[in-house]
Amino acid sequence: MLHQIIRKLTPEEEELAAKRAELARQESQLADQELLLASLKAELAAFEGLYLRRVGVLYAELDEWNARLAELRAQQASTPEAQAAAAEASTQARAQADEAYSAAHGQVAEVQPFTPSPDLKKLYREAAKRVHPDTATDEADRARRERLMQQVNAAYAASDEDALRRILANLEASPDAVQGSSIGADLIRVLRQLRQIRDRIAAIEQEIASLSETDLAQLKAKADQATIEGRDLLEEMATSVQGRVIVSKYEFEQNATSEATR
Amino acid sequence: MSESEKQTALVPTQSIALTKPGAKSLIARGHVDLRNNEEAEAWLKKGLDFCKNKQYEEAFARFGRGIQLNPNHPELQYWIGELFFDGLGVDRDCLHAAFWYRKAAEQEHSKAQLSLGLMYAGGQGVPQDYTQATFWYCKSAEQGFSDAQLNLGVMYYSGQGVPQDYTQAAFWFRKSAEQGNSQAQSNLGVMYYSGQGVPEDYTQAEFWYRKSAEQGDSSAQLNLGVMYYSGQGVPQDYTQAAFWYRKAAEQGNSDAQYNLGMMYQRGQGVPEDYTQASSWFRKATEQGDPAP
Repeated sequence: MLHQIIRKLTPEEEELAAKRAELARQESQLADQELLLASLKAELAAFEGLYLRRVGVLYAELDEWNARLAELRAQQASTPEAQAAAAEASTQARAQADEAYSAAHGQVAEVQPFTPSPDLKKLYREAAKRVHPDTATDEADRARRERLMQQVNAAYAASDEDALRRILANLEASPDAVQGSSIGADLIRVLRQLRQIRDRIAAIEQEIASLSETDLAQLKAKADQATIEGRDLLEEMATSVQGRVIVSKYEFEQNATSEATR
Repeated sequence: MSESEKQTALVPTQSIALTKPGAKSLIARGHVDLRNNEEAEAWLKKGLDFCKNKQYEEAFARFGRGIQLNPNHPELQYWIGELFFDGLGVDRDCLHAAFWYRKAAEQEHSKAQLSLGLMYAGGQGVPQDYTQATFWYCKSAEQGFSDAQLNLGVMYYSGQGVPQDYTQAAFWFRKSAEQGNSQAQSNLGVMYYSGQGVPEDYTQAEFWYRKSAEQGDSSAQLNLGVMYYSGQGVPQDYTQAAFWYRKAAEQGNSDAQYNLGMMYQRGQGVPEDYTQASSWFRKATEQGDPAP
């Protein structure tokens, strides 16, 4: 009689299977968290661009009038002491105006609204799961994955679905990570990957928490709340700074006129 | 232990620098200004509540707290100007009032623009200057503030700060009148009655006098009475004439008191009554009008 031999899993094999299932769950959760973080960053960057275009430029204009006024006063100062103080103030005001100008009109200000399509999100999640550096098996693999992950994040922030598809296609072509030589080695590797993923999830949570404490995120939260209430917070802020621009410009012009008539 | 197993906990490397320092400081400024402004708004609201209860010292202190947080808040600037001008909660000081009105006016606060214009017209806290007064009335009027439109109309009518121009005067009286300003309605009625800046038109005159009279403007009540008395723009009606003279007379308008006295003396629209007549003549005279 021929008995079918059913191989019973050893306790190590059972443990490995359980851990692999756990790893799959954690990988999926990590992909969700990465998507959340990447979306948050992209939304914040887009809001920052909007803020700089609508409010930042007005601060830059305000600083410009203040700098011109300071420069005018430096010319008008009569005593050497007053001249030195006015020159110092003028240099500072000019530096601030120039910094504000380049910030308000720089690259950051060009970031456009971020509205990811469901497809883009799906692609990102898939790519993040496949690429993720924390699933690396060795240093070289890890370095490669880190580079890829940067590309994935950049493609997502730029809403570039094609780039994400290319990265995924290239991944299909590359050989999968080699399986370990023994159950023991496999188990150790899975356990290490699990730990790394948990660490990364914790790190993401921390990063999201600290991002939400930034001025940028708090401003955005207030702007979002205002939108719900039917108000345009950036418009209100712009109006308020615009008022200060008018006053500073007026003050400069008064001084310039009195200088001209002296 | 293999090479890969010696790795320590991995450090995430993909966070990109989110903001450059310059942009970051612009955002921080916006955030600080926003928070300060929110607090300033809260102080403004508290101050206005105290104003309603006529607790002006309390109000002035609240406005002061607000202006420290946001020195550029036009509404706070305006109210501080108001309290200085009226001497409420603080010693009356026209210099300070003009200073704060100006700050708010430069930020297009329409009430502050009118107030600053009035300071220039009256030479309070600033050198008397009708040109400046007209300039600020005009700024405020163009924003649609009816009191400023009325004042700008008066400047054009009297040629103060601008060349006299009845057409412009009528234009601004109408703008203000259409918003329901009773003085402007009365003035526009006068323009139509006398054909200044508009074609003479008694029907229009009567229309605007009545709008104003119904709001209680004594000068419009008197003029409407005159129109009824003489049958201009309306059928002659002594009863109506007496009715409107009385309305104005009861508000202390001496011309109306004199006219009402005449109605009693002649028994027009009212029963002949010499006692009433002399009583109204006396009231008119007490206000400095020549005796009949």
